Amino acid sequence: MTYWIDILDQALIFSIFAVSLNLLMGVGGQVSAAHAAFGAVGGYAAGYLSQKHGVPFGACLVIGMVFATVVGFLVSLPALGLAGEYLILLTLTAQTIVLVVISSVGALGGEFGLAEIKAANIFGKDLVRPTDFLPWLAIFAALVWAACWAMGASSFGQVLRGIRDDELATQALGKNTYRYKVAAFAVTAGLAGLAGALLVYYNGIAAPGLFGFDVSMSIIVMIVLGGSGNLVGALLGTAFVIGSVGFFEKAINLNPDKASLTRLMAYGIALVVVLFLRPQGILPEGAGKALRRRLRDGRAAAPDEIAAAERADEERETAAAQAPAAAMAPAAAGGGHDGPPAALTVAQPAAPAPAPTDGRGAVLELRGLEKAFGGVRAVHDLTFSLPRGETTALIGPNGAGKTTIFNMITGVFPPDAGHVYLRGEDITGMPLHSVTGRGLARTFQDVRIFGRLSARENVALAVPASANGAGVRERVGEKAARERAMELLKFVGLERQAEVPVAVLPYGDQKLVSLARVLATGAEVVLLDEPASGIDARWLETTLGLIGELRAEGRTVCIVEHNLEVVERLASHVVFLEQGTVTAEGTMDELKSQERLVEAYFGMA
Amino acid sequence: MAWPEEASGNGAVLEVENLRAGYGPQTAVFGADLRMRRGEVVALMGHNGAGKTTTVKSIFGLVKPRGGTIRYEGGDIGGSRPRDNVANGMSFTPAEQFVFADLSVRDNLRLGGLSNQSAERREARMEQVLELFPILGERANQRAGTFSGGQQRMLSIGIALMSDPRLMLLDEPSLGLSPAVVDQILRTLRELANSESMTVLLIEQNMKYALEVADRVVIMHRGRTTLDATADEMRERGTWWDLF
Repeated sequence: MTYWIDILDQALIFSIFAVSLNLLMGVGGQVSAAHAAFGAVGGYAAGYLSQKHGVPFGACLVIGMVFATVVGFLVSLPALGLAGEYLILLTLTAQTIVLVVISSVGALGGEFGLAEIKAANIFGKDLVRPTDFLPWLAIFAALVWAACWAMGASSFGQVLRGIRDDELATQALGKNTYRYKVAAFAVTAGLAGLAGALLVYYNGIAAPGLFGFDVSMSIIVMIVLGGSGNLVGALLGTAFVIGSVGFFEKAINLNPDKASLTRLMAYGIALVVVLFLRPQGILPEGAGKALRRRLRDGRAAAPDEIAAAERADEERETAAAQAPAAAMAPAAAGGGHDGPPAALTVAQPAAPAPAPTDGRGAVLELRGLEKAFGGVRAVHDLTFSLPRGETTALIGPNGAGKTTIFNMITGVFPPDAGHVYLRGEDITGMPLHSVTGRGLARTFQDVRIFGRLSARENVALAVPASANGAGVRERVGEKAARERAMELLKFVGLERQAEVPVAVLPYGDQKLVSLARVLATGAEVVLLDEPASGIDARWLETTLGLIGELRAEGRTVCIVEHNLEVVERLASHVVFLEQGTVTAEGTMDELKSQERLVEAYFGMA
Repeated sequence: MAWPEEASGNGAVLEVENLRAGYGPQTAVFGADLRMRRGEVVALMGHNGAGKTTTVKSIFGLVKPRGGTIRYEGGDIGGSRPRDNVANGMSFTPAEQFVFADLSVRDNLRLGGLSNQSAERREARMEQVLELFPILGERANQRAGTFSGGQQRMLSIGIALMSDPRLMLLDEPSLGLSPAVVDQILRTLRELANSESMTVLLIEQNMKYALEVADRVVIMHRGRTTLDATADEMRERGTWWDLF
């Protein structure tokens, strides 16, 4: 019996490793191969202070956590500026360096580590046997589970999920993704430090072997096996990996040497089987939500959501194809949302609109922008402005530089020369999230929504923190963000699909989610990259109606669009681009009458 | 849509009816119709994202159709694999640079002729390609990676020709090339259509080029084919703005 309690104790300690790494890796998408090393930092700090200086148990745990948090923070500063595969390499290096340093410091016992750590003492009682540890480990583990669950479910966790699914899109919603990643890294390193300290007390020694590379890997395996991005999955994975120790040694009586080899083989096979059969792990993210939704909807055998969505897609298309004219009229009139856009009256722009910067009331001005890619000039001496409250369209032949211009305005990459002014403020080269924070937001040509998040979560993530009172009372802020998200989904006519993961929605609905999301930023100036591409008549009418309403309520809109019918219907101001420079400006009718533009657009007049 | 009279009847090499296709959740083609006679050159035009490339890729088998029919030389080929279509005399030249950069011109062409059973025919075909594009003939043993964009495009068309296609599909053969090079490529395609009765479907953005080479122009708009007109009819139109 003691044997199994020992296994259970270890599982509880490792569940802290797994659940915390899951927050970073499963929720935030940042794979760290150094989780055991952060455990070593916390474990050694606790072990050293306890053994050499007699620091009490509780203080050692706290100091261990603080040490690990600090080391995690320092490692994350260079690491998280890097793309995924380099992050893995860098954390791998960190794992090795930490262990090498620890094993070479004499005061930490070198290769052998620190032996005979003083027993953990809680309320005057020494914890010696596994049964002594069990209730306390259970409490520590439960606290960490609860903390990680709460962080995962909070707006912090939603932004991490956004970073995981599409970092650029998350920046475009005004989030400084680097800061979020560093915070997640430091916090989870601290929790690993706690687990490491507990592991040291539990074993009575602090040795390098407790925190080796193989340990880091097995923590990753726990998450991948169990199902990343959700707490229960990480716990299942921990139970499987740690439980298998007991299974091979006791239940089928292999001798310990053989058992450890057999176990490795079993991990390998289990990993391959799981990755083939259930690539998202035994319990995929969102499985619990889907189950709850089905129970609530009272469907005994709910049809597969994807199949359902496809059918809906099909029906809408057929309907649109059969009666395009009929489909247009109601859509244009109602657009699938009821009444006037009450939602938008609540939508105050993030920044108050100051007086126009010049006589024409230009809200955004581009002056003399230049951009070259590897010697090819994409944009040259580009100067135009967006009149306040109007819809401007950028058109021109392929390769005229339209998307490049969007990218330069929003700081995806800086121009080589020239300036961008937003309400008179120079925003040239400002990072994407700062530009969004100043009230200029964009969509992307490919929708770039967060597929595993629900429509509501997608939109709520974009509501700026300052607008919903976060920082004062986080919970109140989150509730406000949720409500705002529902208002906007109602505005685009998707309130019924609010809780469905957007990946299963038809493409037209996904585009509407991305539109609601860009509105949630509260931006006064909205750049839409091909809002009408890839969608059929029904969605087109809804989309055009919505963009029209944006203008009606005073926002400045700029679209890049190849469909000239759409341009004609939406834009009061059209900018004609050729080879990265403006060659004509005016209404669509004015441009159409110019023979030179006909030649530029079609190759002949 | 009304078919031009000469294209109807049993002489059609390719008949596409009410094609629907897309990627993942996105439907790119909602209803494309197309009919081509033997030896005819058709330019498929339309705004960006109108579904032109998806239509052509569906015909070739690179994208699985979600609805409608595709008949080639009388047989239903909807959902068939590209390699079977090549064996049946179809070729596809993508818009991206498509050559084997480390191989010589001749080796590139040899790879293109692998599906061609007769060695004699392969040799003859290679000589013909090198003649059609003299610049390739002059540099037959040079590495393709050292070529200019225009020369690479000629070579990628040469690779397609090596399989003896009866139906050539080309995605924007003029993209990014100088007018002189485009003229040469289009003239060559026209010649092959005239002399070998090869059928050519090409995607084009430039009206001038399209009318230079094509017998007919088919316009796609927002995933549907919306106009099928002869080159002359297109030339006589007052405006093209309404088509895009």
